Amino acid sequence: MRILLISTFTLALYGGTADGQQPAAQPAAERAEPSGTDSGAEQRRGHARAAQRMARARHNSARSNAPAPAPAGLPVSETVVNQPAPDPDPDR
Amino acid sequence: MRLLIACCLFIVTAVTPARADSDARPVDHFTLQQAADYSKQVERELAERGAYIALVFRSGRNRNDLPDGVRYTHGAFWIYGPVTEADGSQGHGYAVYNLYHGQTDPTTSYLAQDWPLDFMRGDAIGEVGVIIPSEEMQIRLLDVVASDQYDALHQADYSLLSNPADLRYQNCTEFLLDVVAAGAWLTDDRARIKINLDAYFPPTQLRLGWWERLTAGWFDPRIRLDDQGNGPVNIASFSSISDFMLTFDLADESFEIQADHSD
Repeated sequence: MRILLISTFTLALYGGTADGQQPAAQPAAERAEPSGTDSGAEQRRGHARAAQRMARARHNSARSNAPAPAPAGLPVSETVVNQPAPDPDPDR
Repeated sequence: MRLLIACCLFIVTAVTPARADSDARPVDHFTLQQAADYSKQVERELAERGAYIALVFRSGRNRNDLPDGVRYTHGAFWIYGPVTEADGSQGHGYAVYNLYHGQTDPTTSYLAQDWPLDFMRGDAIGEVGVIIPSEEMQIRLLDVVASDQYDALHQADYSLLSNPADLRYQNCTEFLLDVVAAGAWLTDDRARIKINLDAYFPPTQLRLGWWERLTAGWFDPRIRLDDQGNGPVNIASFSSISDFMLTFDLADESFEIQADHSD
């Protein structure tokens, strides 16, 4: 009973019940690119968007019954990147 | 008196603040060359599996210093994309997307992108844990990271032992889990994410004695337990995130990579 009360309280605190649907992973419909102003965030998003485009292209290629699907492996440069990243905590 | 000294020693050894738990400073346990080689080794293993995004975990402390059930002290997304070669041409490699706690104020955190070498300079054991999301989940995760949702999921109030089902605090592993949950349930509403994680995510449970609970925060301000109940301390870890993602087919595989320092 105590557990039930705690559980009910927690749910009330957060204002709802859990989704009936278990977590599942079908790709969502393609989204428009969001706008942003912060340069660090923009750099981050730019890199992630490049990966996003490549991942979607592979996914679409696999679904289009192409006769020769692209190999799964990805090329990796031998360069060890050591670029200074934008520092969002400059006061430390 | 001896009892008092013994208590003090116990406290200090139990909750001594440690570097590189989840901040940006390097440990440099290995040489720079070894760290660079290891970072490239992990990049190759991810790329061979075709991972555009993966969850990677490192430990800045020896395993003996970690609680039972915890193998790593920091986790981050590794994301494949274009990198600039030394000659200015474009190649490909991974960038690392972190949540770090601050150094002047370790009770707050910030999001930072750096590189595999930076990640490996915080490794003290020569082993990382890896979760490769399913192909569909990779797309969803990249959708989140490339959008404003990623920033919206960040809770700057930091706790080393944050409860993944509670909104109040967040650490690096909980942030990874929140991004995974945002991709799985297609929402950046953290309140809804916490409700769902409470229902579907079995956390890693740490058993702390009453004395540890009482005193931990005195010695390490990053430990805040007011988001925890009276029972075990619930946290997100490599193991629990891996189990969650594999159980719900959000991940293809989970494994560990040992550094090849033989060269």
